[in-house]
Amino acid sequence: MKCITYVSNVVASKYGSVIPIGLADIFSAARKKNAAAQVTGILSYRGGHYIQVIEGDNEIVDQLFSKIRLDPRHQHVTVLLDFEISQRSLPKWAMKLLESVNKDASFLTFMDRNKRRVCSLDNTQRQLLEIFYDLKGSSLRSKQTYDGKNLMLLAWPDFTAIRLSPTIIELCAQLIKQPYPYNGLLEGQRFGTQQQLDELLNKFDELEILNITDSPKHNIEVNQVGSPTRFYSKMKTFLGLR
Amino acid sequence: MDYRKLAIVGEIGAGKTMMVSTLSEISPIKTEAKSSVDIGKQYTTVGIDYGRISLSEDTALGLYGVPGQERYSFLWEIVNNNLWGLLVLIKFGDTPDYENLETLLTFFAPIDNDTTCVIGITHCDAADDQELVALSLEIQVMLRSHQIVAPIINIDPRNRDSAVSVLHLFNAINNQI
Repeated sequence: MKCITYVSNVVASKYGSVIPIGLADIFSAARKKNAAAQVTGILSYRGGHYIQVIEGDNEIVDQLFSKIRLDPRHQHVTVLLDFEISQRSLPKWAMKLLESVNKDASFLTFMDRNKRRVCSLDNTQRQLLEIFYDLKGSSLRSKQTYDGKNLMLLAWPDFTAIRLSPTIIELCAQLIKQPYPYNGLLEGQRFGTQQQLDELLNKFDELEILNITDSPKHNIEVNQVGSPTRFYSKMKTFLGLR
Repeated sequence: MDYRKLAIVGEIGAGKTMMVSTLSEISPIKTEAKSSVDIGKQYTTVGIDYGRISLSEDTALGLYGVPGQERYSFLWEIVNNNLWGLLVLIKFGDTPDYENLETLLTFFAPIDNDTTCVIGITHCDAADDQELVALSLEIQVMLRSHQIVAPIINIDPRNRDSAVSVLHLFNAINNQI
């Protein structure tokens, strides 16, 4: 068996935007074909680049990689790792799609097993890998405390990872536009108990969408939110939330 | 009268007409014609689907289902002023027409017009989580290229609870300064 890991660039659209068009199709097709060929691996996208790891029979992986190389949906394919393996690092997945490899246990295990090979990468390869993976190892975060901090969401969460609920909606809406003090979120238990709130914030942090900053000297006034408008209140009544 | 407008846009078959029907308290005013080509259904909308939700005697939300094809951009102009929200419906299964979506977002310019934008993925009964993650990733990147930060949720326009959850999203976001 062997393993190939590569990074490539997404092809820019004619408007210049770099969108991973067809990622959903690539993923669906890869999962089916890989399962049939007993190939396992992961795929991730970040900042205009793809990273993919594929494992399986030598000939099958080489043939697959030759086809992948020629796929018009990406370019500048750079191989990072290409070596023989005696056991798979990613045995469970015909193709696993990751939003962030930094937090995935199986990818972290894969990197850990191949530390020496990763250290041998040249500068270009290291820079490409660092788009996805924190080589310095600071991705292993210590437990967060939010007391006295201002919080802001950098993006809406993926609602396949966090179940949509009225509380989640209100919390995300509160944090998406500007930083908000953690202590303000605790008031009135709008978002549950402190433990429940912290669990939600931890999930946002795991998804790498939570920005945590120290409170400045002039704290953001909680009452900047203002009182709800009439329309908001009537809509809430209509929605059965009052 | 406190009257707000929600524009619902998207490709053919994304579920705009159904969304208006599910939410509206009045029988929606539909503008349909027989499809001349095979689009997977017999009739398609050629104008604006209109519906309404009365919140009180003097407060209401108008629902405007607008075709997403660029040849209907004259209809976009009718709805694109002082919108309470812009709901973009994307049908799971086919690769989205990103060029068309970019045209839509450029026209409606939610950032410049301070319009709350939500992306709804429809027809995802048969999709599994990973497939939806993949599609969401594509859409998020497109949104970022327009500096838009918008929630992406799975919607079943036939289901009232699902459709209503979208209104909750818009309401919560619009309540923030």
